Amino acid sequence: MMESVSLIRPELFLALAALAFLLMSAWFQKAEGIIYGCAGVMVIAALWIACADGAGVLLNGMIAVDDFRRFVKVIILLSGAAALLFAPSFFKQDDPVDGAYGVLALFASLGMLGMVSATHLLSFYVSFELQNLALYILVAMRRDNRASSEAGVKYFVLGALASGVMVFGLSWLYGFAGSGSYAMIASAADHAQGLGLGVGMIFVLAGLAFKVSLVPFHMWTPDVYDGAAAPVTGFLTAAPKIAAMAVLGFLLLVPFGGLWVFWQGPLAALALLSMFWGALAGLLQTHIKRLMAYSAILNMGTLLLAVLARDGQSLLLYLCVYVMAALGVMGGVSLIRIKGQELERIEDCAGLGRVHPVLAGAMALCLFSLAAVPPMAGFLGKFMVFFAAVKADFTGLAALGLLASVLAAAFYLRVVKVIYFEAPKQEAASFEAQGLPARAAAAAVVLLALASSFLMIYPGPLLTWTASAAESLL
Amino acid sequence: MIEAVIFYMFAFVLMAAAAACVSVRQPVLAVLSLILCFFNAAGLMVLLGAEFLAFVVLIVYVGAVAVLFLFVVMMLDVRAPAAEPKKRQRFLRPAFAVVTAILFLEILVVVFSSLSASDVAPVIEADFENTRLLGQVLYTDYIYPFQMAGLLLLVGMIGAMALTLTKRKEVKRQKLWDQLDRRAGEVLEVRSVKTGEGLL
Repeated sequence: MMESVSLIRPELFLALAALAFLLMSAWFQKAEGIIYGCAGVMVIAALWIACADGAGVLLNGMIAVDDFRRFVKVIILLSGAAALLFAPSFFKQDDPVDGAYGVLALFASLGMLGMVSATHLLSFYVSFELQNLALYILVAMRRDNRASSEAGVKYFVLGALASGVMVFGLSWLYGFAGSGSYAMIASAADHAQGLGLGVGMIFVLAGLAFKVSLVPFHMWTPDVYDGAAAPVTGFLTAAPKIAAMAVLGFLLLVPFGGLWVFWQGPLAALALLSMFWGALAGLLQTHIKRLMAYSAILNMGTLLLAVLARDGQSLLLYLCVYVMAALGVMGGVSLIRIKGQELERIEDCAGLGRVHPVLAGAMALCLFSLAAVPPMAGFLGKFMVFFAAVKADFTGLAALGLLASVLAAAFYLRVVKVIYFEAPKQEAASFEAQGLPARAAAAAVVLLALASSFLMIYPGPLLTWTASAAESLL
Repeated sequence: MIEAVIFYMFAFVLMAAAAACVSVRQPVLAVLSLILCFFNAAGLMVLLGAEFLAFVVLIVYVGAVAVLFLFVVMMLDVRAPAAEPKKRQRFLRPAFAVVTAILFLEILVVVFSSLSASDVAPVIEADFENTRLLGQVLYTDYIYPFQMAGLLLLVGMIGAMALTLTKRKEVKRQKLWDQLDRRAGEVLEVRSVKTGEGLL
């Protein structure tokens, strides 16, 4: 018992820290300190998880620890911490937000860690709801902002529906296997393939597809991304997507690995629809956060190719690369102020290259990485995914995915063009990013941009780490 | 014998209350009959030996959920709808009837086809308490989901407060400490005013 608890010490630390910060936020009026503290706790927990080793199933088969889960947890926590860094400078100028922001982000990441660790339907569902609930609140947190409230309600209602669909699927799986444990479901699936298994799997897949916004389930994404405050959008683009995509990949590859024949058709359809709809609809967007929403849809579709090819390494690598670049862009968006207002339209970025060369350069590097321009990390990620798909005899899908990502490169590069080559309009000429919080956020953006650009030159450590993580998956 | 009498009593009132719940026009009456329904369901559970479940039903459904319903119904001031149903709604009733009939038939099929006495869980004998058993399982085998569910409820509470608690800047508030801390000498000045001259 003792050694099993020692495997989840970082998570316990995270939970206790969240409670401590919750208490502190009742007394300390300074929200900034609490938000930075929460980010620090996330980084500490990430390092702790990264340095730990050992594997095993613990707490009565509810959760497990292994290399795959450890890797995913580390990138969830690091991306969550980066997204928290963007918050203080953003909310300082807008409306003051209380320490609950950081605490909710901590609880959300705790839920995501639980989702990834789960080896039982019950523990999976409880953690899934923990992160969902915290995210709904984060989205709706700017009370005075109508768009934000609308986004919160939309996310909540649609998310509750998706949860209902997923729970329905979970109940079918439980009914089929007579147990909620993944291992029991997998062994039951080996012996008999009944209606319950198929129905349950499809409904669970639908619930997770909603979470990662794959195309028939993506409707909420642009509205929620656009309505939420920019740092919250940054949080949404990264951590929940990593968690849900990792769980999707894990569920399909491990417990449902034997049912590959059944899920590959629906999954290929989801991938194609997401890639093309993300690329085509992204071309028409005028708002930067909506553009990032369609970018998320497109990239999640691309990631499905890695799941289809049953290649854990390219899945993890591409997740990392995408999250770094998307977080960098969202960090830039949350730093830019146009006459004290949040940046919304892409055309308002015009002239950023002259006013803020550092921030503009970092954002451009991240956008290049998203567009998968060769020297950037994004190219490495996309190359790995498409290469894995071709190796697994999905040549047609890989070719179509390549076409979609070429289409998508156009909308990323359009933003770069606006940043550097368009003359700023008179009324939108002021960009303000001053003070220590803004500097810290800018430093995080620059760091993400540098990581996105140098990963291609020195990919060794990440490649070996993702390879060993993927090895424990299959 | 006496158990059967009590069972049929609870069952009859339960059915009657359920029928009343969906058929009365006053929303408040509907909620009240729903509460009656819950009470009788709890009675049936006690008869089955599931006393913990019975009290959870009372505390959660009657104590919290149904009272919340009542609050909402009373706050929204929902009047009884007009007696004549609208044209669009007229087809709803037969549709509901068909769905209910299908569900009822399903239950009949299940009851008469596969269910034998051995499939039904036996009524628990009274030599141990299921409250204690449930507690033991919840705090050992299921401690992890139990604690996570606790965090989930905590997040729900934080959310309710974070989204509704307003600290508006434009509202003037009392600063009790500052108000009580000041001395008369700092804010009061005693002057003697001469008759017919005023202060200035």
